[in-house]
Amino acid sequence: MTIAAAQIVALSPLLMITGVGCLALLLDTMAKGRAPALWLAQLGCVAALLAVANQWMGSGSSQPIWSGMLIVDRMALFLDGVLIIAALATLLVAAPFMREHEFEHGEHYALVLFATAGGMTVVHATHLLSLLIGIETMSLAAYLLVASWRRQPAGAEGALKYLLLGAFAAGFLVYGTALVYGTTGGEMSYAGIAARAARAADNPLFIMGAYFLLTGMLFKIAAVPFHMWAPDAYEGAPTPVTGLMASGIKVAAVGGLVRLLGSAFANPGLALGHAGWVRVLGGIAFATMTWGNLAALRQENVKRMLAYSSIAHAGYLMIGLVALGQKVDGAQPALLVYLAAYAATTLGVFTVVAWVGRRDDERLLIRDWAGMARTRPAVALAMTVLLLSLAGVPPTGGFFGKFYVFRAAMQSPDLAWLVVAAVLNSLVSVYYYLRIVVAMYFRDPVRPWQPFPSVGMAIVLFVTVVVVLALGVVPRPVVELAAGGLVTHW
Amino acid sequence: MPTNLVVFYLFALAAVVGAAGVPMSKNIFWSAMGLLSALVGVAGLYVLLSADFLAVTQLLVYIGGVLVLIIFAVMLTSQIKEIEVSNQNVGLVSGAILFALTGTLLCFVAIWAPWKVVLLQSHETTTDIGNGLLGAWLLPFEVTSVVLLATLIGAIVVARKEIKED
Amino acid sequence: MTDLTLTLLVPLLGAILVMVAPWGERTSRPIGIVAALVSLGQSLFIVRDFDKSIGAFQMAVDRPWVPSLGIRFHLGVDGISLWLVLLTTLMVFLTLLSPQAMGLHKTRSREFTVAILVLEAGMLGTFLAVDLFAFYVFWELMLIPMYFIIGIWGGERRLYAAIKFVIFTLVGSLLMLAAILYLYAQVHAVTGQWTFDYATWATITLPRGPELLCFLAFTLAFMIKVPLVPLHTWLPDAHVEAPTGGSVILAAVLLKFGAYGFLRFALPFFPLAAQQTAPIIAWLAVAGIIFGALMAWVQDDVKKLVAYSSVSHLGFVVLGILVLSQKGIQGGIFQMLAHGISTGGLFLAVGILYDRRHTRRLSDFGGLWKPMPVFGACFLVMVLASAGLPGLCGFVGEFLVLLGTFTAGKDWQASGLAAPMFAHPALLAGLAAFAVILAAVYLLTTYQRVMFGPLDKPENRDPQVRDLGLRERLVFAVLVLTALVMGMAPQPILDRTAASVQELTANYRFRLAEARANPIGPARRVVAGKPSARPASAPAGTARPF
Repeated sequence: MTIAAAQIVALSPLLMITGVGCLALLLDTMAKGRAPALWLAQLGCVAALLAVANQWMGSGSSQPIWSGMLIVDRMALFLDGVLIIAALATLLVAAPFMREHEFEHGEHYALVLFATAGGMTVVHATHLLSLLIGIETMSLAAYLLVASWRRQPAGAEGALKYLLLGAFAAGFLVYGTALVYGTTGGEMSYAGIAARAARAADNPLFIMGAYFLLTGMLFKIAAVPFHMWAPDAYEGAPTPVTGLMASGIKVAAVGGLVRLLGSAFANPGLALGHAGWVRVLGGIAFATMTWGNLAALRQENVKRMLAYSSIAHAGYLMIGLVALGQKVDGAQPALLVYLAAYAATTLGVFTVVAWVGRRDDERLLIRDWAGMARTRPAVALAMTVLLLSLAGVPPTGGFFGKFYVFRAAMQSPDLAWLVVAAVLNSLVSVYYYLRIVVAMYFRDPVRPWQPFPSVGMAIVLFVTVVVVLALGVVPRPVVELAAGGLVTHW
Repeated sequence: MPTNLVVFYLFALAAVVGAAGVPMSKNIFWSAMGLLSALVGVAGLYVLLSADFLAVTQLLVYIGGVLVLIIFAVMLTSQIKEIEVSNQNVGLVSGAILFALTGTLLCFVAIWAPWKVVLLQSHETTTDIGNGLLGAWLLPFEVTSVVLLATLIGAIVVARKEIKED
Repeated sequence: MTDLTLTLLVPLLGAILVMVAPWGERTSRPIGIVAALVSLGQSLFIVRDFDKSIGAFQMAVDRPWVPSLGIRFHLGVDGISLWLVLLTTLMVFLTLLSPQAMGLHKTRSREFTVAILVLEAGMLGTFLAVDLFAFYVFWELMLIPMYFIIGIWGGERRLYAAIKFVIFTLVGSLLMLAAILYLYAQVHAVTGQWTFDYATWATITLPRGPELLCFLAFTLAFMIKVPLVPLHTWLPDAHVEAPTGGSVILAAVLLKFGAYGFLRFALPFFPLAAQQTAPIIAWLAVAGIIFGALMAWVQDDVKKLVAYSSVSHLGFVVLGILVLSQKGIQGGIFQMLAHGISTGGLFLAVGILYDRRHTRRLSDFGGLWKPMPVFGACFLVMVLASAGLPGLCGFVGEFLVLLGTFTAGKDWQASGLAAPMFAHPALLAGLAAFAVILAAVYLLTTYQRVMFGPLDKPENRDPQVRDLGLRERLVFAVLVLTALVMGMAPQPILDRTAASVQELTANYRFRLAEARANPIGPARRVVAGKPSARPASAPAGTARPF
């Protein structure tokens, strides 16, 4: 096989992120202090963003490259952008957070970049092998990031649960890959699977393989009933890492699912009667959002509440996936817009959570947030906007994303019930999101709050709030970007 | 029954029983031995499938490297007395239910499935694998190195002592 | 020429200015008052430029928002929304001007001003939106500021009241969102294009089952807002706990959205379902009128009393709209305006009493005329206006509604369709008229117990119980004057609503006839004056009774 320069250029964002990750490691050992590695990592993200923009401008290629392993199309580039921005935000927040909590180490930055590189591989993957390796890169880095806060006892527990269940999920993925490979006569590329699926669909082993693949991916987006790891891992992880897990990693996993279901299993009638995986996924979407929201109602710990809220959002996202399976108009751009809005909101929310805590005083209980509107009105206002976006109240990006996804689903009469269920779920979610608002605005301060000064956190918070509001008020540019990223059927 | 079928079932039995032994035995040393049995069984299956290179790699890396390390770790970190209670089983009931469900499902699927029997031409696979890794499968091969790198760093981060900044 | 975008932007810009103004709390209220005054001026310009001969939307602003989804930033004003816009800007201005707006709280006036101004933008946007997406965005935009107003500046049980308000409102509006999404997909299926355009939506007839479900979803949202018995339970809590400014805005403007939405959306979109359920809703409205009046009668808490009287008075609005005749609807609209002025004034008066005496119990007052004569006079005008005394604003609306209900059968004969009021319009009107008498009883009793009688309680002789200050006088002067003008010369107001109401009822009857003629059928487009996809075969006169 010859490697054309074009193939390297097409992968330039991915290569940059990986390379900068390695360089940051080296620099960290040689330079004094942590700052140089951090700056290098941040610069690398900016450069990778520019590379993504460059690819976007010139992107005409919708053909898989690298022997059918990856594709560089607009959807992948869109999600690349989201992932890199999530990584950049995580870096900006993680540095002051680790300094405050005194566990700063340069490897952290490299691991964030490796996780991002894995995520980017996932959204580009058009082959089960590259999907698997992308998932593993992303997940391994994430396990380690969760475990990296050694003083936190919950961190070890969360990391262990995450690792064990993640390994389990990887097992499902491998098993599914093997079954699909065997029953399609040696196909692992999505295009090949799609071509042989109609014949292979009679074989129960193939169906089994497809469901195993689905199960493995559902573990990664924390869909019910594969969500058990999420609350513990989210709670135990250093807060910026939680932000990365809830935004970047979830975005990548959903992106991978969009590709897998949208192309390899684009024919939804391959299992369990006519509706196939669409019906199964619809049921799981309902269970996921309902369970996530109901469980979030009971939480007193902000991080756990947000973990359950993130599970609920996986449910809303799956409505978009189901709509994608029904081949309705605009399901894919809807998912992309939702993902962008959700990622921005989540990053902002976890930035606030990271900012609230001080060393040995994490202030994770809702009652610890009492009276924040008095002491830090700007942060409280930002948090309110972000929470409203999570709840899906206009005029925020969260509302627009939901609207867009529901619009896609509403076109299929089979999915109307799912939309109604999702809308009622939003009502439940409003209640617990408002509990934080109640604490911040309606209650008197219990303890004075002195946040540590941090330019990085302020920047991330400001940018996310602006993005969330912009997505709600002038969503047009993002809608058009997302629509430019349609998967081309090959 | 043909000989190779007998051998297949023997290896399969070794793999399954060994795998079951890992979580179920109370003594972590026996867990390690179970793992050994499972790995050897799988290596044997590879041989039966004419995957000679893979079988040798399995023996060298997993048994010769990983497993020996595990056993060393078990011996060095624990006192002999503690070994007996070192593996606490939790969630046996739910695990058994889950196992029964998945196992039944898989058995049914295996029975339903129209298996296609192909006679394997046995030939040396090392060259093919080498070419594949540097040809068609170059990209996953390279990305795997990132996985390994991340794991390596992570192991250090998790294992080292807390760094005190001066 | 007036630009409606500017009308929306002024309060928002004012809010931003208040937020970033470096001078702290002291300047926030004056900036807010100026912003509110500018919007009031703008809405006066809108009234001046309004052409009363046109029934359709005027002064339209129509820009693409998200073109690929058919979302447009489309604003417009017609006879139905015109006066409500003016009412909104007026009441917001008066609220900000009134010193009691925040209740007993004296702090955080910056946040209060921001909340009120954002609320104003939301309310104006909801009245002006012609695009359903924009409508929904503005509709939800009203929710959060009101939540904060109740939750931060409210009374003892403010948390409970605030969350109850949010949950009740959201139940309705989220179901409405689901219905909007469904309609959106249906409009696309019928017309082949994605659009949120009001005019297009108002030509789509849905199949019967979905029509009824969507109508119920819309109606639930609106009936909770009005509120209609038995969905009213959030209202007394919200009113009692909210600070004076919150109560005034809630009563004067926010509650109008229920009736407005019903008139603007539920009727034109779902004519057949509206016709079928009209009897039930009409009975609920009358039940609300009577129940509200009786509940008001037995209250000891003045604020709760006014809240229940508000439930009673808004029942008239719903009743008037459900008559679906020119008189009834125009009366309903007038009653909305009159209720805004009189109940808003009553809540302000209660706020002043609470400010002076720190109590709202009727039995704690008495003989207040002596220390507060000017207040007494203003309070009296508001009480009489609310009770529907001829010559004041409350009379015209209630009279038109009752007249419309009595003559419903005759009004509908011309169109050949049965009136929606089924068999007993006279009974309904009679019951409602009885409530007018009840209103006079409980309002005048209240007034008497507060203002007259011996000044025997020592607290009432306290020097703190002083008469109206300058700002309070200004506020009440505007309200009293408005109530008088509206009562003496209602014609200019009615004139400007006539054309739009006529168009609405004509379109409603046309589509109702079409829907009756084609009882079974898929979603379709029905345009007046043009042959529809499935032309009405049966003559209108043979419509079946339901």
